Amino acid sequence: MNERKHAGIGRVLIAVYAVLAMAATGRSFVQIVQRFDEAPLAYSLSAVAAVVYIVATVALASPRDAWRRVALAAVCFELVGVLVVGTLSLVAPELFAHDTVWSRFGMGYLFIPAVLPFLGLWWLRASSERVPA
Amino acid sequence: MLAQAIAFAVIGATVAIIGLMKRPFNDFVLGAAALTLLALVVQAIASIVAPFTGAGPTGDLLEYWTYLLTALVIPPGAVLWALVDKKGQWSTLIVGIGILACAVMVYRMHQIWFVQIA
Repeated sequence: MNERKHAGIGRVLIAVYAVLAMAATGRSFVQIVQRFDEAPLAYSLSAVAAVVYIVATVALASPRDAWRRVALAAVCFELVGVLVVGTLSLVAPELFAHDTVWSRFGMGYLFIPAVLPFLGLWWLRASSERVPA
Repeated sequence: MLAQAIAFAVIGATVAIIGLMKRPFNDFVLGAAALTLLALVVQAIASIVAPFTGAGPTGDLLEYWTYLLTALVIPPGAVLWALVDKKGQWSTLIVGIGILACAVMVYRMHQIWFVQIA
């Protein structure tokens, strides 16, 4: 019973990841196609973030153990990304004059990018308790 | 478009709340997703026709269509997921979140089409 519950809530998490992955991909596609030369650093970062969200979505959705590690890596990367870029965008705004998903701790996305990694880590931990690694 | 965004937000929130009450996926939820998709399709057709009547977007067309095409994928995707995962008690919530995401995207499309800050 408990196992199914975790799997269910996990599905909601995966769905939110999927939506964010699509949003980030779409946005970085537009940024890179139209004005990559304006801010190569910020827009490359956008693209990297988008790819990591896609990887995290797929990895979280997969039941296999190998993917669990990939998911953990992707989620940690996001956590570090949102914290570092979020802080830098406030402390040194001239570095990030152009927005990325992670600017100002993901404010443009209702802070979802800042909250998701924590939920992701929690879920990975909660679901690993029933599946011994 | 603004009215559409608000309508999506209301529908999405309603479906999400029903989902949180752990009601299983039903015809009402399917109808809500279908209505969202229909509204988006109408918007897409209007967006193709409007520029020919001289009422084009004030903002960036590529960005607008990227949002619109992404939004069009979400309702069918969420429903497909719900149908595959019939036993899942969270399918309704997923559809609700999907519609809410559409609401945010339509709001952004509204800004791109009508409002220019820069």
